[in-house]
Formats: sequence, C-alpha cells, structure tokens
Amino acid sequence: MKKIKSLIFNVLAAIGLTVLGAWTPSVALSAAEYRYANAQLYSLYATETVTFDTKESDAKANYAPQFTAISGLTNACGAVAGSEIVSYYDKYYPDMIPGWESFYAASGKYRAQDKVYIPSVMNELYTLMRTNVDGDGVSESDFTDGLAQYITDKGYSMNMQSVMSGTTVDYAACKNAIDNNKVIVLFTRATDMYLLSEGTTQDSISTITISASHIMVVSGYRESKYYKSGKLFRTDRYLVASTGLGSPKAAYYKPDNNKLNGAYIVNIL
Amino acid sequence: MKDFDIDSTIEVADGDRKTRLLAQLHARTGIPEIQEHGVKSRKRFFGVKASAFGLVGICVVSLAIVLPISLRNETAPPSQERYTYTAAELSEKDLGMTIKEYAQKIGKDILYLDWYDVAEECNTTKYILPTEENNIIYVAEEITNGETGDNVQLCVVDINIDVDRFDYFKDNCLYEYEYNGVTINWSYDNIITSIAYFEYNDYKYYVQFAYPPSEQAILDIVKEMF
Repeated sequence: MKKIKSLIFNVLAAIGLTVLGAWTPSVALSAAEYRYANAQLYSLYATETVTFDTKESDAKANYAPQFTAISGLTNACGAVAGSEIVSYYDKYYPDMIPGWESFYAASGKYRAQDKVYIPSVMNELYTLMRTNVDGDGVSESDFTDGLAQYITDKGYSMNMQSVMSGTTVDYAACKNAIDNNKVIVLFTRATDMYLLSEGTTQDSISTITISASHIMVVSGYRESKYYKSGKLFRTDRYLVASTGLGSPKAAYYKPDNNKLNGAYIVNIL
Repeated sequence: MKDFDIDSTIEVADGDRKTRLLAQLHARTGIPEIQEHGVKSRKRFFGVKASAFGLVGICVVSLAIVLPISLRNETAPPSQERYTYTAAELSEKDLGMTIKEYAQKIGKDILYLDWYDVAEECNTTKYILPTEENNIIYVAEEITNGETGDNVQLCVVDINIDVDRFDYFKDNCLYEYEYNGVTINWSYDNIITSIAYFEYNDYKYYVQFAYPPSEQAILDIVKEMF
C-alpha cells in the first residue's frame, strides 16, 4: 500500500512539474508594439433581438469609402484605411488624390474603389507605411508616419488627435468630429462588430468577429434608445466603421468594448 | 496434556451429542447457529417467462426501427442532393463576364440588376472550391450606379446549395413582401445596409444595398431585377 501511494505521488509530482515547466507567462504588448496585419472576418453569428414599444435614434453617416486590399498586397489594412482616409478628404481638400473625383455630386456618396486611382494610392501608402518591413503589417507609428508623408506630399499637413477615454473611445468626441465631417481611425485588437436589422417593434443585432489586430476608419455614429411602457430600458451606441475587409464592408463598432489600442481624429490642415 | 481440537471433537460426535456441542459452542462465541436445512434459492429477477417475453419485445422494437428505414429507401420519393459549404473553404475569382452574360452562356433564367449601361463599377466574381475551378458554387456581382452612386451586391446561389455566409439573411430579414408571386424577405438599416433574399426559378438570390436612401429602397432594387 505504501509503495502504491508513493508511486501515485511520484506520478502526480511529475505531471505537476511538467505543467509548470511548460507554462510560460505571457507578457502583454504595449499599444505601440502591436502590429496590424492579416485580420479576417468570421461569419456572422449570435443574433440578438431587442423588443420594444418605441425607439429613438440619433444617427449620422458620412458614407466614407469602403475599400478592400488590392491583389498582391498582404497585411494591407494600414494601406486600405489610409486610402479610405485620403479618398474621404479629397472631397474637402482638392487633389488629395490627383485626377480622382472621389464622390458623386448628385448624392454626395463616395465613389467605389476603381481599378486605377485607388490601387495607385493604395500601393503608394503600402510603401510609405513600410508594410511588412519590421514585421507583419504595420505598427501605429508606421501607419501615422506613412499617411502623414502622403498628405504632406500633396501640399497639406496632418495631425492625429486622440479620442481615447481610458481603454475605450470617447463617443461624444467622435460624434462631434463626425458632425464636423471628420473621420476617426481605430487601432483595435481582435474584436466583435455588429450589423442591425430594424423593425417596428424589434431590432435584430448580429455579431461578426474580426480575427486579429486591425485598423479601421470611422465616419458615422448611431445611438438607439429603447422604451417599454414609456420607460427607457436600453441604450446602444455604435460607431460606423469601414471594415476594410470583404463582407460586410461596413459594420458597427461598440465604443466601450475595451479592445482598442488607439483612436484618433485625423485632422487635415 | 492432550491437544483439544474442538472441530474434530464436534466432527466425530453424532446425534444428540453433536447437537449439544454445537449449541454450547454457539453460546460461548455468540455466533448464531447455522441452519443446516437447504437454502432456498433466490427468486430470479427475470424469470424464464419474463426473459422470453423481453427478448421478443426487443426483437419487435428493433424491427419497428429497422423496417421503416429499409422500406423507405425503396418507397419514398428520391430526395434532391443538397450541398453545404462554408465561406472559409471557398476561393474567389473573377468570373470574367457579367451575370447577364453568364446566364446567357449557360442558358439559364437568372435574374440580374440591369445597371450595366450606367455602371461606374461592376465586379463579378465566382466562388469555387480551390481544387475545382469549373464547379461554380455561386456568383456575386457588385455594381455601382454611375449616376447616383448607389452600390448593390447581388449573390446568386443554386437552390440546392447552402453557404453559411448567407445564414445572416435568414436570421435577420424581418419583413416579407410579395411581388410577382415571389416572397421577398427583407430588412433595412438606413445607416449601413439593407438586405433581401428570395427564391426564383431554381436559384436563391441575396441582395445588399449599401447606404440605402430610404427604408424600402431595397425592394425597389429587387423589383427592378424582375
């Protein structure tokens, strides 16, 4: 019996030591060390239904471009987001993309990605941002420096104004920026995004996951207040982001999801 | 002194003496007497008859399960084969022609959005298994109206094929609309995209309208396809 107990103890000790030996505590990256590359969209899932008597919505969309990486570019979310930003501001700052009329005068909607001008801009930003040079994709500083260089080359200057509030984004600051026709760039870790279907007495909310650290451009917001029997029971706030990925090309981002490394208003001067 | 072996003493004793010796032994040790008459055998939980009926019952139940399945294969109408794919296992390639041209090429009545003459951009892609380029699972066409900037994406899938990326439509189209004998399931989100899906002539259609100008704009798009 003593021999059996001793044997069992030895086996358990061996297992325990093996587990401890294999365990390596992970060290969290700082925001500056993150690299943004190769994120993918997973299929939509997890539909939630919100049932209500009445609803109030406060929403605005500036219809920012929704581009995707051109063939041949890898880990290109920085270049894609940068292309969306310069295409957006081309409406207000002439020749941000020389020769490109970025929007439809009749509707104000931005032009879809073409096969000449936007690929050219995307390729240029891909190089200026040093994509895949120090590692996969770009770092936040790679993105910022590359975008600033492009804008400076076009005769303008740029600054990035943080709208972070602790570990989340300041929704009011974003709303104010959007109301003033500015865009916000998000540097996010793997995160969930959302799509909505609106009904007269229920809204359907679906979740889609972005698989890895990613850069996106925000150009809209939405706040929905839900009431039952005259009482407010739920408030949902979202930012409207161009995902820079396949489908959907735009989705809602919750400003309080604690997955952000940085969020900045892009100011052109 | 002679060794005293009580077992042997009791063993060799007989009749009344044996009985008295055993009684004394039991009294001294406190061990109750063993009844030496035959032990009645325990009643079986399942008697022979019960076992037989049980076996028959099991056979009947088994036949009740097996027979319908085997007979169904011979008597039920043949079901159409269904294929299910995940978006992750499919590859995307340029179709090289519009959906209108594709429909003409394969001789099928496939609906499309006829904006080709005013399209700013029109990108038509085929989704295939990586190892079977000629086996088109579905086609998708994204077309932007060059006059309005309206952007619509249309996906056309064989009615016997399911792709998980379209489950979203089934879960989130909250309304129904009847048009030309076709039930159109649809929903709207005025900020990002409105969606609709319906079935027509052996195909399933999934429609997305980015930044729609009104709640029912998606229905106008679908009607325009007929």
